[in-house]
Amino acid sequence: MEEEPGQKTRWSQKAGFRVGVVLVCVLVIFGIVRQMSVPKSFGQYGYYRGDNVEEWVSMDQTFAPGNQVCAQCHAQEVQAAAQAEHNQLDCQSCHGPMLAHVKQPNQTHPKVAGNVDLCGACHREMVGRSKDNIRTVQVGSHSGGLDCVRCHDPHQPYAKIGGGRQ
Amino acid sequence: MTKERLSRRDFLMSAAKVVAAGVVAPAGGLAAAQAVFADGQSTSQETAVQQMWAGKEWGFVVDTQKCIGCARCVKACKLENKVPLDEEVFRTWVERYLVFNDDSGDEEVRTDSPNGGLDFKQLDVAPDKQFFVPKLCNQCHNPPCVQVCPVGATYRTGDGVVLVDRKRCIGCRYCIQSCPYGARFLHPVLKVADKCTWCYHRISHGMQPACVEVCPVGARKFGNQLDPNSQVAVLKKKARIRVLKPDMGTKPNVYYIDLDEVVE
Ligand code: HEC
Ligand code: HEC
Ligand code: HEC
Ligand code: HEC
Repeated sequence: MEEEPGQKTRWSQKAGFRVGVVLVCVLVIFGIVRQMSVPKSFGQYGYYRGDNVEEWVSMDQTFAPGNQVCAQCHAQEVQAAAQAEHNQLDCQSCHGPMLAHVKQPNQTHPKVAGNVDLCGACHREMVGRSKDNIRTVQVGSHSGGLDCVRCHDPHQPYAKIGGGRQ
Repeated sequence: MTKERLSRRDFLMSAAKVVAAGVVAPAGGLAAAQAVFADGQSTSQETAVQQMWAGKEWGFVVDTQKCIGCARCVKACKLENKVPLDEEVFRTWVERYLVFNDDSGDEEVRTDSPNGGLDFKQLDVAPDKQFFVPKLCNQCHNPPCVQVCPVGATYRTGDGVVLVDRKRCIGCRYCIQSCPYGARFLHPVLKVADKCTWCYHRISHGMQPACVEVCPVGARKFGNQLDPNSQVAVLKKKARIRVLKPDMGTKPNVYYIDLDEVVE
């Protein structure tokens, strides 16, 4: 069968039209998928999702910012501690995170045991820990197995046993 | 031959026409629309985030001569940032360095960091030198971790902190491997890359990072390097400082005071 030249041209145009439609569809779908998968704030400040910065900024804190916060309600302890050997310490170095307590003092009842685990973390004699930086004790023989707070007031270490640093 | 060529050209021409009509026209319309709407929120207007960043470049100073290895920082960090206490992953940790000189003049360096420094044990040895080195993310100027991330899930903020976008991270661990300081890990619960943020949720509200807050001996200092009166800027100027692995070209922003040369 011989084809007419004109027929062949028409056929080519039709096929071309179809391929064109398919191409357009592919491009449109690509555009939609990209739009959906790349978050809105991506690229706002750089090659990342700009909104993520705010997400980090607005995370909850657990530690209160410093001893002056405690002073609002525990003026006596803060005052006492400020004048004694532990004056460099943040209350929360021993008491742990306290922001929840600051916000709702009566709902949370913070307790900390004044034992070897607490005091020994800083004062235990140990290789690596220089006596130039901190007074250390051999916790077992020094305390005779008693809790450290039996003899030492944690806020004023020598208040109970008298004297103080010689 | 000519017939063939003619029909191929027809084919291409008509396909091109459709593509042109289907894509170029809407795209042009879109561009015009964007040009109109762009006036409403022009780029010259600063966002709240950009205002927060302005004039800030956070920095961190560690004084290894002061550290007593109590690891209150390690514990506080985990509590503040909800990193599980019973897992061996740390945003900040403390290493113990013990240096022994033998008779021939050789140095032997022993380091350990059991449970990130929370479980140091007394040892029956007498080292010639002993000290602790607190470690944390260096928030590098040139962070390799950011370069290798395949999905744009980690980045450096305008005020100098490298953060991880937990919604985008796919947990592929490339960043964990690329960090020369071992500062990244896979969060055991969230299954995304995690790292020190210098407590971004605290410093952005004028608070100190939790580790700085609880340090009993002032071995950790944090502040704005661009503010000449900040402790960090002052120490950077007057103290003998150095950074870790300077040859890596990462340009760290954690500065160590009087750090012994055995520490890399
Ligand atoms: C808004 C006032 C307020 C602030 C601020 C506050 N507290 Fe308290 N705190 C209280 C009250 C009230 C109680 C008694 C709660 C109870 O026993 O029901 C208490 C109890 C305590 C206790 C337990 C006392 C006991 O007898 O066992 C500790 C420890 C404590 N606070 C520490 C802190 C620290 C550390 C801070 C600072 C980070 C702080 N508080 C900030 C009001 C406050
Ligand atoms: C060296 C660790 C340490 C530090 C620092 C510290 N505390 Fe305490 N605190 C303790 C211990 C341990 C107890 C429990 C005492 C006991 O069991 O007898 C305690 C008890 C308390 C109590 C209950 C009342 C009392 O005196 O027994 C309050 C209130 C308190 N602390 C507030 C503070 C505040 C405020 C600060 C900061 C100025 C602070 N503490 C700093 C270890 C510490
Ligand atoms: C977070 C670390 C830390 C904890 C926990 C801690 N202390 Fe201290 N303590 C210090 C620092 C720092 C000093 C002052 C520097 C020094 O000792 O040379 C100090 C000083 C002291 C001193 C005075 C030493 C002297 O003669 O100058 C005594 C006594 C003492 N602490 C007892 C305790 C007791 C008891 C506890 C537990 C209730 C405790 N400490 C918990 C860090 C700590
Ligand atoms: C039986 C009472 C008693 C107990 C319990 C006790 N201490 Fe002491 N502690 C003393 C006395 C008394 C002194 C001052 C005289 C001295 O240096 O021995 C002292 C001094 C210290 C000093 C200063 C040492 C120095 O070199 O100046 C530290 C640090 C200390 N104690 C920590 C602790 C810790 C930590 C515990 C708990 C493991 C503890 N103490 C338990 C009575 C006690």
